[in-house]
Amino acid sequence: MGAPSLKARLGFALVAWALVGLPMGTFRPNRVVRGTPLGWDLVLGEYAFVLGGGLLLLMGAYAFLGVRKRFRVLGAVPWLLPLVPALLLVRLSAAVPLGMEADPAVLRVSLGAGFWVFLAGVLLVQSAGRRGGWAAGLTGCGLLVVAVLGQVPHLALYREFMNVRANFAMELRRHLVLALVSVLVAVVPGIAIGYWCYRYERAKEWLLGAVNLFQVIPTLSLLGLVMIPLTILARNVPLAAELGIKGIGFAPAFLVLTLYCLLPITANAYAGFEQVEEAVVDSAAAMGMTPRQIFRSVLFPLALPVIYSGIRTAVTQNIGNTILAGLIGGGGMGALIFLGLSQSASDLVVLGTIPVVAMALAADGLLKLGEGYWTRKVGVVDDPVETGQ
Amino acid sequence: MIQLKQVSKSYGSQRALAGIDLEIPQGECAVLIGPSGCGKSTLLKTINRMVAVDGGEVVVDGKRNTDYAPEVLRRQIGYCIQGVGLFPHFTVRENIAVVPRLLGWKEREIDGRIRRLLDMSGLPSSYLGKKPGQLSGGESQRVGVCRALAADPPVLLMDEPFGAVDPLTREKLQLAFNQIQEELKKTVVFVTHDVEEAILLADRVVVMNQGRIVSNKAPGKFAGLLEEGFVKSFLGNEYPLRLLKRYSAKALHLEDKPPWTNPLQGGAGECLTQETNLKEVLSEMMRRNEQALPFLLQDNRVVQVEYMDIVHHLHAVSK
Ligand SMILES: Nc1ncnc2c1ncn2[C@@H]1O[C@H](COP(=O)(O)OP(=O)(O)OP(=O)(O)O)[C@@H](O)[C@H]1O
Ligand SMILES: [Mg+2]
Repeated sequence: MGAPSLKARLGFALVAWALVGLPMGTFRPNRVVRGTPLGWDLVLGEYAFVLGGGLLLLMGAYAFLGVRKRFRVLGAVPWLLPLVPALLLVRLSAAVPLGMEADPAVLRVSLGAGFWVFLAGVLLVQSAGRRGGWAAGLTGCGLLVVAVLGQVPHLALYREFMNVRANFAMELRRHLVLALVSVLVAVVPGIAIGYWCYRYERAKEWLLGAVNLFQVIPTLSLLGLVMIPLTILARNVPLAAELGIKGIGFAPAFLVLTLYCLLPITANAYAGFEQVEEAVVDSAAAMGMTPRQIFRSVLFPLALPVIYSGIRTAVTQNIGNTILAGLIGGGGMGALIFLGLSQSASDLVVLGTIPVVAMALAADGLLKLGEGYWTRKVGVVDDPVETGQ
Repeated sequence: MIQLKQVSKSYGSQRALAGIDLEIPQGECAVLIGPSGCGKSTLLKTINRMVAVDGGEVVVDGKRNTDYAPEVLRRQIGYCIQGVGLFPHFTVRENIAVVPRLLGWKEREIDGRIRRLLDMSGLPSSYLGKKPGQLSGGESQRVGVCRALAADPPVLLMDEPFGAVDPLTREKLQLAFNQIQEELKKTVVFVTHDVEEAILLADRVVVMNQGRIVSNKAPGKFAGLLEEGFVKSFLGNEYPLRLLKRYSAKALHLEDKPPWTNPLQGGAGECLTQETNLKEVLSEMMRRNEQALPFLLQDNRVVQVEYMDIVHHLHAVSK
């Protein structure tokens, strides 16, 4: 149980650091004025010391004593925390520094380093516990709920969201579609290439080398590289242009993302086939299975857990990479992020980033759940107790 | 019938088989024996084409094995791979059923077949639902043997199939194997490290060294005087003593022996039966400090077997 308690202690340290030494946010009378930092005492009001101290005490107890059997009750702490960041957010939105006058219609509060470190600390503490992923997810939901309920009207993120809300859902959907479909498209070729590498020793170096190449080229340059042939294609083949294939936009983004997903899938498929015991494959062949039967009923099922984790890697990585589609007009959250960057509107950048991080974490979590299911279904039993026999 | 003609195989510069000539007649069991790395497994694999030969040819049932489609060839050759190689994601039942299913047997037939095989191997039928990960090494090997026998193939290739089984079970399996062999007369190529196993199972013992066959005879033929050299040192100086286990007292033609004349103090219980193997007979002589022992025949006659009868028998088979 060493690792979880280490996580919890690190989380505790982050929370303490955020409360003691970092500004929770920045108060600005309007979008362009320079801001005033908001300390946690200002945010929490008159009970600041009691609330902050109590929270630290609770988390400290969990982090340092929680692993002991005697203090098992402390296991509840991660489940007490989900509302804390949400409430902090509400207070932040309502905070006004002493002696400042501002028009409630335009004043805005940006989140500061203190809030993010605090949130990271809380999530870390939560993820240290049993089923910690769910507790952390609950925290995320809490934040979302207060925003949806309109409890944080002055938050800069909220204001930025209201500005772009017409596009937000569409870009979000586009982002997901782009990220997931490009993985899906890469799955079959990825597995096929992995299989060829496994079957044909000579092809291996070439194929893995080529796939690796895509990974080594920075994503941006790859985008550039793909744009040129696609532009030429669109210019010279009317059908391609009609199908919407252009040097910029959806097509090159999709292509690059697919190429990028190829490596984790191929590499894992190859490793998966390779780890199947030779005696097993040999005996399958010696029983008189055809290569196709061997693949279908021996190699593939036995490699599936490893292949699956390659797909999981590809999905998480791809959700992040899809941001770059925004650069070339492919849409997605990248569109918001790069808009924010061009306007030096850091809140818009953050607004675009949060869903990406959330989606990546959620996808990873969900796919991990599926991993257990697949491994059990394929049923390579190491532990007889598990099957209840 | 299996016939290897001038078969050779190299792995890079490593010569695994160097010109093998071997003929195994229909219904015979040839046991390959030799030190580790001498090419036994490789020889076995050339037969079902798991290894492609560099030179020479292998003839199975009158046809070169390269003239069969590999799948067709392999489905009629049962193969116990060294290292078992059970499918870890299949249950024991599914593992055994692989070849029958490939051959399109009906599930009912398969069920019956599996039950009989399991009986023979001494595994309880509760094991059918287990996964290979839950079996011990010896149990896995037995399932491997069942899998090789499943579709009742006319040819069997067995690569150290009983290597990890405890001595008692191994002896039972060897007896079961001999019984099957007597009934069904398969053509078997069997690899072992164990001289005693070779003696018990073989119609002929093929001694290999460094990719060559150095000797190929019926097991009895090694009992006489051998030239000093690899075969003698490999089979061991006590080979004749070990060979005794192969024969039961029946082989001495008990009905022609003189009747027992001394009084029987312990009654009929003192007599040995004709199923006793000769090694046990010799041991019994040593135990009782006698040179002759009484044997009870089926017609209730009691005959006398002498030490020299055993010696003469060994001499006769080694001729
Ligand atoms: N796939 C392979 N690649 C390279 N060399 C091999 C391969 N298989 C076998 N060899 C070599 O061929 C020789 C014969 O191997 P083989 O497996 O036939 O030996 P064996 O008699 O079965 O030994 P053991 O009793 O240990 O099973 C050995 O020297 C081995 O190193
Ligand atoms: Mg071997």
